[in-house]
Amino acid sequence: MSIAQALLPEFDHEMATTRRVLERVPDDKLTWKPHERSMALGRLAGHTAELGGLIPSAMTTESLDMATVGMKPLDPASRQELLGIFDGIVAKARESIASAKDEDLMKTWTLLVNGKTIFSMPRAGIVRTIFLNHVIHHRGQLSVYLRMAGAPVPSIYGPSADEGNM
Amino acid sequence: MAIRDALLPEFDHEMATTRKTLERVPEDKFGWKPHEKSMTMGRLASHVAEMPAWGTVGVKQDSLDLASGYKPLDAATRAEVLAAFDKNVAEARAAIAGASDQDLMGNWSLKNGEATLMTMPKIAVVRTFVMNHVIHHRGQLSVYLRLNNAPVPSIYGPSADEGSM
Repeated sequence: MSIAQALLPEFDHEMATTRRVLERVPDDKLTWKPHERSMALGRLAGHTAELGGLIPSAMTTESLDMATVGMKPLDPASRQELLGIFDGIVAKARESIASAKDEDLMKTWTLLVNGKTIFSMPRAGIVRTIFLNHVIHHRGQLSVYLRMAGAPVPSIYGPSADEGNM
Repeated sequence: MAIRDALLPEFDHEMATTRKTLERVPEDKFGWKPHEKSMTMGRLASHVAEMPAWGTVGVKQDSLDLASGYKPLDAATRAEVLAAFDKNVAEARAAIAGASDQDLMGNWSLKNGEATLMTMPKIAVVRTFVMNHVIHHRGQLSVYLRLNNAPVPSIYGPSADEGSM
């Protein structure tokens, strides 16, 4: 089984769960934040959605300097915009992973800020950490935001207080 | 590369980050919840701490019967949370480190009495029920910490409290 073949079922499952969570983001609460130091709900949802955008370029480059790349952080004006962008990002990320050979995924990739190396790891590790685990982390945060904002929380890993009973 | 050799560096990294997060849980706020439908801080931290034990079950057993009775951890102190976490992590790590590719690709089933709820390879159990599930609840815990003005550690990059690139 290739690395890509092992990743894709999990990718599909986690992106489907992520979509379910993003679908619950209340349009009228995008600027709400649980604490003054927190990200706003809309920005948190945008960040969760945008992370897959890294994958296509990571598969065709060997590094990225965050200070020079000029990425515009996603801060959606509506749930519809959020979902539209997310769907596009997921489709492109999936294509990149599906077409990657093991030797591509084992090539080293480096994250830099202003020329300073933050870390280097095989691209498969980037898919795992900067993308998948990172999405799961922020989606978990988003589930608490949804709960506090009065939106129903979907089942993520088993039942939530609102849905799914074993 | 053996499956366990691909997994263990990530396991170590994520469990270390998880410990850092559990260390910040304020003991006097174990009963706090952000919403009436939410888990309490103490129960959420306990849930994170108990989860690595499912890795041991997922690797060393071929199934788990929910009907056999599982007692969820509801720790009263941070020390109890951390002790349970450390023990569970050590045992899960040993189980993974001792598992061959053949072991990890073997099937594992979640049952409820006579009914089989799901079947998947053991490596998928570790991936979904342990790794991803811990990361999910740890993300929730980071919001609980923020709401209680406890410093949030760097998890995937800087937090508002620590770590600047």
